[in-house]
Amino acid sequence: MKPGQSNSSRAWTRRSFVQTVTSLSALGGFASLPPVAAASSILGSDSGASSKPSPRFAYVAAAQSIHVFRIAPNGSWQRTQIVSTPSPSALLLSPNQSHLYVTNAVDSFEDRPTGSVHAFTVDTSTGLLTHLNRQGLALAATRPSHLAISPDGRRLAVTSAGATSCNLLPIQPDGSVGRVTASLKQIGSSLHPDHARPQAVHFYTDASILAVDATTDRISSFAVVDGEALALNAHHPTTPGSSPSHITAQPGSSLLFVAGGLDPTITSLRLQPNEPTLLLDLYRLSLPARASAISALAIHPSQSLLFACDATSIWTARVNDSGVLTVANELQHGLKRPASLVVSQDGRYLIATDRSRGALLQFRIDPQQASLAPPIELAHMESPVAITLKHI
Amino acid sequence: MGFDAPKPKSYLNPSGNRTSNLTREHRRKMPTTVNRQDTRFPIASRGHNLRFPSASADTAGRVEYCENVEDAATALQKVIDAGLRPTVRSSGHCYEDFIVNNPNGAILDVSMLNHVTSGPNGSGPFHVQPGSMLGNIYQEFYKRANVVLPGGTCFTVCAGGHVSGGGYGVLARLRGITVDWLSSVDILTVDANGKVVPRRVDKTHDPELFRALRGGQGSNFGMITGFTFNELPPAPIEVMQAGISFDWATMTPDKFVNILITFGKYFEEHDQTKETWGIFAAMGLNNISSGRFGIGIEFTNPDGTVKDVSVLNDFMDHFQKCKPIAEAPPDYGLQSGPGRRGGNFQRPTPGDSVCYGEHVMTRSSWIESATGGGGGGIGGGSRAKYKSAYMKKTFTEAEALALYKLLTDDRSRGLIVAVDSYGGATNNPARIHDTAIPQRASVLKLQYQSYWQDEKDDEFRLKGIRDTYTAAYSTPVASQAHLGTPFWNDHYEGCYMNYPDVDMAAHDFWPQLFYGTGDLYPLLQRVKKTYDPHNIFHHTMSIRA
Repeated sequence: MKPGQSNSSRAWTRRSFVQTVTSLSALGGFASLPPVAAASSILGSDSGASSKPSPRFAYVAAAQSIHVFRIAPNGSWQRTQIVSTPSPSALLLSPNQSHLYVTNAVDSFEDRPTGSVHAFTVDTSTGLLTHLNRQGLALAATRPSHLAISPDGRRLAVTSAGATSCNLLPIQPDGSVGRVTASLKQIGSSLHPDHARPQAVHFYTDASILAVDATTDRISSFAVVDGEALALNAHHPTTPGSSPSHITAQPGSSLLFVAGGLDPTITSLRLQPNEPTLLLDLYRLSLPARASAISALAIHPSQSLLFACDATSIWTARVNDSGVLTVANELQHGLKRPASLVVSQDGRYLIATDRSRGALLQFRIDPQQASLAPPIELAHMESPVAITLKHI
Repeated sequence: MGFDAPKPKSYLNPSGNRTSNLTREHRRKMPTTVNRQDTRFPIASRGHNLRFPSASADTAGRVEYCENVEDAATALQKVIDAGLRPTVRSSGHCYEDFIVNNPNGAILDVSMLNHVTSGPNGSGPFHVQPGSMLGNIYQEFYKRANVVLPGGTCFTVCAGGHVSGGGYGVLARLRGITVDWLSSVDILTVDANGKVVPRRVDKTHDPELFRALRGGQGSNFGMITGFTFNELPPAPIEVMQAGISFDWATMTPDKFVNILITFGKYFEEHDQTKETWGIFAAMGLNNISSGRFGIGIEFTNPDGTVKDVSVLNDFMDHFQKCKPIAEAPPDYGLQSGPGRRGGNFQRPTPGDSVCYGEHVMTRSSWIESATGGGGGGIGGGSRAKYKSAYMKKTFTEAEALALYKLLTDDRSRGLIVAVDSYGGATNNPARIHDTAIPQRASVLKLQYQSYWQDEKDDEFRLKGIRDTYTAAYSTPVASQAHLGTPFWNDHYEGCYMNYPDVDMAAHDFWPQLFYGTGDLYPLLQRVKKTYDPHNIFHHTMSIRA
């Protein structure tokens, strides 16, 4: 199969993908393809319709900047803006998608030892960004790595590797980020002789946060008290040595997925907010021995597919109603350093960032086959680390 | 696997070093918690500098008042277990936001941890807890043993921050600074597992931590619960106070330059003249709108008496050529004693009579002099900003003119530049290596101060002090690579961390500015990594390991 051909009816095997990558390499690699044309041709041939919206804009955190892309109805991507921001490490749109929040993985902000969050207003029609404000985190909360927004859009939770802490910041009515109102630091160690390091956070209600911690092998539950303070509720231990680093869930869903940062395992859990045991382990999937540490995790809008990226492959797993995970496919992605994954709300595309090669790649999803088509390179930029999509 | 509620952790983990195991009875003790609903909270959650908390969001979530060491350990462990940031307060005199800017964190207040004890029959060791006020320490040691802790002049400043940051006052030239006398420190640190560990550190037990705590500030490493001084110098018997003041109305640039150079030159030339070490002089330079500026002097001879005041007379005679004002103002003699830290130099001071033919001096007992000042207890305070500089030589003409230019400009309204004598016994080079105060060659120590009440004046006041400071350290004698700061060179020895100034954090060389260019900052970083591996104890200018 050549790039540009429809692959909607064909499940890609590891072997066929390797062959494709080999042929692309012979042609000079992904870079030899006109990104927009390639994307357009594949998308244009798509016949599948989705009731959920397709992405209109994409925002990519790259070296010292945010790249804004307009996604045409035919699926072509056009870069429309590059906005400067220091060392962006993660980004997220507000629930109504009117504002973009970016963590700056810096060691100092306004001469203080802390990282920051950069807020932008998003133009509804053009998707263009306008600087709103930049807010420092709590002292010592350097190099923030992840953020989450409460479902009501009023609060930000930010994790910092430097402080091993979770910061809580208010989102003002105009979308700007207010001063930090609380910081909660986790201490401890598991099998890893390192400090506690909250890797990712997830609001499961407006006032409840889960934080996965790779070095204490646990998931912590924090309560937002009086709208501005943080209190530790409980710890949920994970398998010793699993080093949980990623958490993903569909908004409003009680089904969560946590992946290890050192151990290539994925655990499904059910949230039980009204039960004494908040989190119930459902299933633990160990990827085949050849798999390496998981660098990114994404759930399909249908919740029937889960994507996990390791050093060489994107693994597609089927998820049943009981949270049981089954490996369905492995696709060697050809990425040098995959950094993040995102699935469009229409469920048609998985997009990955390759930090080392500076590439943004799109994989078409075949939900029935639980497989991915070979990637189409959408754009190049320096060190893309995170991506989010605007659908409304 | 289900969720586990966090288990209560035992708060002590004696780790084989010299620690005091806590008894079961001790563990039952609990600190007093003042939370945001408590009517005491508005007072409890702030310090003396009313600029902080900087915003309501920066306010702590609670204050834990600790009455004893066990309270302190319990409170600290509780705060760590809750994932909150602890900041430790003894008297609340911190100049910057280090303590009370703590969003929903916990302030651990040790002001009631204030025992002052000594050995039998007035012997050592002398022990003070961090909440002990300097004035009380002076009184207690005077009564118990007739000895003195060479420390600061503000009665209500407590030992915790003052001692661990260096400690300095009117006896610095005669007896050195406080940490020069420090023998051991009791401190609670937090280990890699998040357990509170009590330690007694000295030259042989955790020696690097001990050195770090001799000027490197406890706020970087843990929660100090006690200081021990095996021996202390005898208290002076009496002091002589004197003053000189100058009228801004008749001031000229030449005269101003002359006064500053004369003042500094005396201490430069007499730095190792031991018979002069009993002189402490503070020149208070203020804005022209205040009418006058002056020099306050407190003197005692090395034998603790003032039977012979020839040294003091000689010092004051140096200013005859400067023609201090001859006419006594109407409220002459109504002022409090000169030389008092934070004293009001805007009004004429006693001794304003050099031209009467002899120097007017006021004799008093040392203990009355040392404990007669105020300084504010709980509550009160004002908005304030401070800066500092150490000088190894007297002022150059360019420096003095830079100050003259700013002080005769409205921009510096309300500013006081306190130029204190320094050096003498403090300038013992050997102490560079066993303390965390590397400034051992300076003869003047400057403290820039500005006080105001109305938040609306913040911008004006902050600009005034910043502009003056920048101008003073942008002359040819300043390090050209570090303009605007008194960076270490032949003329300057940087800044004093007990007069913290977050403006300096704009420079990537700020650690060297405060801690020097030698081995000290690397040592502090090493100690930080070892004894506070999780960076529990941090603030805007804490050690960055």
